[in-house]
Amino acid sequence: MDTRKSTLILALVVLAMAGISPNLYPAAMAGYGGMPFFSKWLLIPSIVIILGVFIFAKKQQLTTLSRRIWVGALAGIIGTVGLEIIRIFGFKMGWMPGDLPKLLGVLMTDRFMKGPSTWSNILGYAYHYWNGAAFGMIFTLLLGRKPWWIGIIYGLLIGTGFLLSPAVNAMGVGFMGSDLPGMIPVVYTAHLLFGSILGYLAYKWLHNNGWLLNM
Amino acid sequence: MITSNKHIKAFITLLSAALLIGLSSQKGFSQSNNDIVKVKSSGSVEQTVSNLKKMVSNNGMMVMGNLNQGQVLSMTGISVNSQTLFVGNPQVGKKLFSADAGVGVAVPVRINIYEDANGQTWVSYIPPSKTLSSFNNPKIDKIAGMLDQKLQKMTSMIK
Repeated sequence: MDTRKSTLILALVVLAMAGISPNLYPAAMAGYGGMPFFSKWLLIPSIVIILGVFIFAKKQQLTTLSRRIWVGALAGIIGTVGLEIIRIFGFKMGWMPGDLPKLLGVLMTDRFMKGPSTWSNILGYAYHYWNGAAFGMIFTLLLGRKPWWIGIIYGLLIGTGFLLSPAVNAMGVGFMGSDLPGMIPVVYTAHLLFGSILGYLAYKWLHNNGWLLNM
Repeated sequence: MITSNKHIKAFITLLSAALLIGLSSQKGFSQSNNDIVKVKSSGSVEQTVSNLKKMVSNNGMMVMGNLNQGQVLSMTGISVNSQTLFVGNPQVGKKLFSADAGVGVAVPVRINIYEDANGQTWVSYIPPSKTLSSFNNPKIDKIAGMLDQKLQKMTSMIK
């Protein structure tokens, strides 16, 4: 198989695997399953597969692909740091319904009735940051090196998706969080910052402009 | 005139009786007994629990816990098919506990799904307006009323 074809196939595999993580929490909130099950049978395997593809791409010297994977993941994680600063501020001000990473942790460890523990907090935050990495990989694999402001549009789309998702609906804050006046600005500002950091770093670190099919 | 009033009263009585008979014969009609609301479900306990979880989310609530009472009781040797969902959401929780820290005796709301001796699946709950009424707090009563509506909406979707 030629390099171009194998790069495309592997990129599609990574895209599919990266798409799993952000959908697990909304799916669990919509009642389609439990987070402990999703984490064990979908999240962990998807991470392992992405790591496997990355190592394989590195060994096979599929440099464009391997670079897009690590740039996307790292830029996504750093972008999530920015997002978290806004989110934590919003939560402390009472503009958010709950502390999301802690909620994710208790759901993943099936200890909602007991409340968060150190371990559940670690897992919850890790999952939140992995979501950032996953969105980062989707961005870099699909778009490649694009002007940084494209990242802002991408971030705002993610924020809109979150507000429309069952994850927000289940919190009893009305359509898109409209019953909690501070929530919408916090979510959009946080995702705007995430997107701008992601877009900037992807622009700085990537060399290839082509989108997925022109990688 | 008196005769006409009598006729109207008799007509209303008959109409009400017919309406009640009609409603009670419908599948899934809510029964209320000593403050417990009971709704029939045509599915098994497991199917009903699964469907309810989706309905809970669609109605702006979260399943905080799922106690499989049947499984717990199997340790005593008794065989029952019964599960309890603990339902709430952070916003309601914040408002209720801010109004009175003692509301934990009544929330999260319990929804019980069980199979009776005839194999019929039921969904039952005590309306929050009943369990929270003893707090005599208008703020709590308002939220309880809203929870009543949500539960009624959810359980009316059960097939």
